[in-house]
Parts: sequence; C-alpha cells; structure tokens
Amino acid sequence: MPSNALTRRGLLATGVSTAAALALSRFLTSPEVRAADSADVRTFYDPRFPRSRDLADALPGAPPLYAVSGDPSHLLAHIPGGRPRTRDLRLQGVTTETVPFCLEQLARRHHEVRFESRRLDRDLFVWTLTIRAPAAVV
Amino acid sequence: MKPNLPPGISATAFADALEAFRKIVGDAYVYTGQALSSYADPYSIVSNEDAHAASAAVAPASTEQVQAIVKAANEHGVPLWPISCGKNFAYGGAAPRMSGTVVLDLKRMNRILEVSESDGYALVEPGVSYFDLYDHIQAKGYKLWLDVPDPGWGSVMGNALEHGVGYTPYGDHFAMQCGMEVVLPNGELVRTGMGALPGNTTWQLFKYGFGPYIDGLFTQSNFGIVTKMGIWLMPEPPGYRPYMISFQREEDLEQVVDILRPLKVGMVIQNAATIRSLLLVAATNATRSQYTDKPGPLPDSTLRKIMAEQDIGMWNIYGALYGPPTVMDTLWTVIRDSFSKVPGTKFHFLEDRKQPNDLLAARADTMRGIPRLSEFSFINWTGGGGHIGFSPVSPIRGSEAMKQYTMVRDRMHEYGFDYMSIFAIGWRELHHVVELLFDRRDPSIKRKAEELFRLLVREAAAAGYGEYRTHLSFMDDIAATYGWNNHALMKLNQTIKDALDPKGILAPGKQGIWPARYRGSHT
Repeated sequence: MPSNALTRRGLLATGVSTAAALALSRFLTSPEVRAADSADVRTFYDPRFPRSRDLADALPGAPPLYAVSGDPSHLLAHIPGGRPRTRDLRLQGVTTETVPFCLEQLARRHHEVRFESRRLDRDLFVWTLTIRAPAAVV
Repeated sequence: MKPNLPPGISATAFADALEAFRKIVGDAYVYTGQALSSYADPYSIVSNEDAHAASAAVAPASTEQVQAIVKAANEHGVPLWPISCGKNFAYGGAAPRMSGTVVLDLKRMNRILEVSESDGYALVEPGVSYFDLYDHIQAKGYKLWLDVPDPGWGSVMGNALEHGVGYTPYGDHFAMQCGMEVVLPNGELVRTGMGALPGNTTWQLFKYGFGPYIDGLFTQSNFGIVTKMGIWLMPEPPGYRPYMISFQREEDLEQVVDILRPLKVGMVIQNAATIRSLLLVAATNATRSQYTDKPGPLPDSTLRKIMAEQDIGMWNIYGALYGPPTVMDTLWTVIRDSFSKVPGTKFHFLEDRKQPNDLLAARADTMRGIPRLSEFSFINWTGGGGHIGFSPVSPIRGSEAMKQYTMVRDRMHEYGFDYMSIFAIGWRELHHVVELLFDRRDPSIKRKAEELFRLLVREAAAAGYGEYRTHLSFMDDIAATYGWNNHALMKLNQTIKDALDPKGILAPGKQGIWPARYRGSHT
C-alpha cells in the first residue's frame, strides 16, 4: 500500500459508506493496480463531492491531483496521441463514471489499454486506466 | 472460449474466412477473443448479453481492402457489420445487430482527402472523427466551421449516414452531404452524383448529378459501404452570439413551440436550436443524489430548488445568432419580443452565466462547431452509466409537443425513471429525443427499461409518431411501425436488399432490413 493510503477509519471519516471503504480497499490491493507501479501517473477527482479528493489522494502515486467535474471534454489533453510512449501512463481517479468511460474510449483509439473500475457509492467510482507503452519501445 | 459463429456458418468456414481476411489486411488487423471487447455495446439494454456480440473484427486501410474483404465475405458466406468510429453509444456503439456478425471496422480509413476553403466542403473517409476534422481545419487556418453533434468523437461520415444532427445552421448533416463513394455488396465501386462523371470538378458541389438521386439508399441501410463522402462546411460568419431562453412552467412548452415554429421556418432562428428539459440541463452539472435519496418522480419543490440553484427553467432553449452585428441585433429583437409573450421568460447570454460547468458555455462551443464531450456528463444523473435514446418525430406544434411530453413523462414516471429530453427543431419537424437512463449493472432495471422502451414505441406509433433512429435491439420493432399498405416500404427495402446483396452478407438486420437468407429466422 502507498504511504499516503488511508486507513479504514480514515476512509470512513471521508464520508463514504462501509461498503465503499471495503470496495476501495479491495481495489487498491487488486493485482491490476499493484502491477502498474512503473507508470507515469495522473490522478483525477470530482470537486463536487468532497470525499472524492480524499479518496483519490489515497491512490498509489496520487499527487498531483486534477479536478474534473462531469464534463469529460477537458480530459482530451491527458490522452497521448498516436505517438509511441516510452513508459506506461496510468490515469486513475475517484470520479463519476463518465470520466473513465470517456478516457477509455479515447485511449483505445491509439493505444493498448488496461482498465479496472469499481463502484464506491451512488455517484463515485474508483478506477485505473493504464495506457501501455509498446513492448518494442520500452 | 467458444467462438460466437455467424448463424449457419461452420467453424471451418469461419476460420477460412478469417484466414482470407488476414491475407488482405495482415494478422494485426483481424481481431478475435479478448480483442473484441471494444466492439461490445457498453449500454446493452437487453438481458441476453450475447444478443449483439461480434464473432470477429477486421480493419481495412483502404477502399481496395474493403472491396477484397466484401468479395471474401461473399465467397465464405460471412456477414459483415461496417462501422466508422463506433461511437454511436446510445444506439448500440460498435456492436452488430446480429450476433456472430464480423465487424468491419473502418477506423484506419481516416484520411481527410480534401478541404476546400473557397467552396466550403471536405471530402473524408469513414474513420475521420469530428475532433480530427476540427483539428485539421484549425491547423490549416481555414475560415470554415464544422457542424458537430453532441459528443464530438464520432465519425463525420457515420453521423451523416445515420441522419444525425448538429447545432449550427448546417445542423442537418445528411442535407449537407454531397457525393459518395460506395462499395456495393458484390465488391463493385460506385461514385454518386457528379462523381460518376470522369474528370468532373463538382462532386462535392452538386448533389444530384444525372438520373435518380440514390445517396439516401446508403443511409440507415445495408445496401453498401460508404468509403468517401463530401460534407459541406459553413463559412465562418462575421459575428456569433449564443443565447439561452428559460421558461418557468411545464405547460409553457405548448406556447414556446408554437412561437418557435414561424421563427424557425422563416429562418429568424438560424440554427438547429433545441429545447432542453429541466433535468437534462441539471444533469450535466449535478447528480440526483445531490437533491434526493428517494426513488420516484421528483416533487415540484425539488424541481423548483434545482431551477433556482442552477438558474435554469423547466424548459430551456439553446440557440445562437450568426452574421454581422446589425443582422444579429435585428434577429434578436424579433426573437426576444416573440418569447417575451410567455410569462416569466428569462433571456441569458454567455456573460450572464457565472456558474461553473454551466451548459451554455458548452453549447456555445457546440453551436459554433467546436467538438466536445460535455453532454456525456448527464448520464451520471443516476450513476448507472447506461442510456438509450427514444426519438419520435412530430410537427413543430405546441399541442403535439405537449401530447408527446405528457405521454412519455407519465410512462417514465410509472416505470420509475426520470424524464429528460431534447426537442430538436428541424426544418419542419420536431425531434423529441428522450434519454432513458438506467444502471447498466442492474438486470432488473434493464428489464424495466426494455419493457418501457417497447411500450413507448407502440404507444407513439398508435398516436402517429415514428422514431427516426434507434438502438440495435429495437430496429425490428420500429421498422414494423412503418407498416402502411401492408408494409410496402419494407417490401421495397427487401427487394432492393436481395437485388444488391443476394448472399446477405452486409449488415443483416440493420434498420429491420433482413436479407432473404435470415428473413425467416429473424422477422
């Protein structure tokens, strides 16, 4: 677990339900999340939901955090174009669902991606989208 | 994993077809197994998850490769489902109508072949998205505006072929289409309109050429694969002023639509303006749980709270003025005076809207042809991610709008869904695009949504309203409602289908048109 990870008690203090805290804990220990440590990381949260920032901050390698509230248009700048990358890029966050959905759709156009998502409560999802660097370039 | 074979095709024949496809496009561009996840319908509404599952996908890079694939498909009897960008998510995305069909993914054919600034058009391949064409125009510095639909990641060609709309004065995309190149189901290549004349210089300038105008046959159909298409672009106007007009009461819809009709038909309202319902506007900026944790229709007190907090109306017109300032001033005077007759009307310009994420800011981009994804945020309203569009058409008449509104709203409330919609104003018609949101992970909600959708189709048809577009799962239902004179139109479509595509390899079931080989088992 990363050093900035919240404890279960800390998670509950952010206002999420016990079920959401459990879902986040499971997500953080999933093989998918643990396998992506060598990537560049960008982390998103939704400022409309105060708990979103605390939870996003608990994700591995989280800071700096980027605010995104609903409108995915502003995310285009975070998706690399068709140029080959030299390192994996991991986009992650605690946001509403359209954010990872749109990022995944945009990234798939040019890149091989791995995507994991888990619902935390009615509005928020924790997710990670890894845009893979081509093996030949690594 | 057991492959999902096309109906009536043996595993051996299918393997032979894939091998033929690999020889045409290379191993890297034939997809099977896990690689097919991109071709699933993310918002599938039906309980059978395999109802629209592809068996494989193949991605050609050129018209010649498309022709070769079509010929191989004929030889092996394997059906193909062409897609351009595959982003038509409320209507099925990249998934095929018939389970087991091979997706013909045209994403690699993404060249912008020509842009003429002086004549105002572009010639594009299927894989060119609105973002691509917009970026190209900006990079070249052309004084041209694109017309974009709400999400800008879709295909310029695909949207026009599906009768999609945008929001500038060029908002009727198929009306702005000029000239096609089409691969027929037998692999032959055809150019329409002036494109049939060798050495012509007017393929993208004059639609009709000589003889029957056939471009419409290749829209919302399975009669050919369009590989090039001309689209007209709007010269950048000398001035632009987006606006929003909000109305306070549900019943205002009738008067608003009646005021709007002569303004639109007389071109005082220049663009494809829209009337958006309260919750659709609110949902782009907030979620339901921020207002209530109770199921069922929102009480009037909550609706008023949303209106006050977001400074929006029960109905909201988003429109724009285009032209020299004096022209815009004159048009605005007429528009403002006309709608001032509705009690409580509020007029808003961009500078009046101070809230973060205000929808007018996004609309201001869209109505000047800047592609965005802003509208996607409305599906967070209930948090479940799924949505499909129910889109009946009516005259631009207040009584008809109110009739449709109350009919659909009451049914949606009865089934436990919030009503949210756009009334999009065309040249003579009103598209009532209703967004049905559902939790795509909840089978019981999906069952209710499916039942509701089929009921809405039947009730709309009984009242004389037909849908202009639909999700894969409902194509047969809606085609059946267009049944005048013992389904004469479908019989004509089937006659054309059988003549052009006797082996039935192209998009079986698209828009309810099944080739003879599958007709008995699917209709």
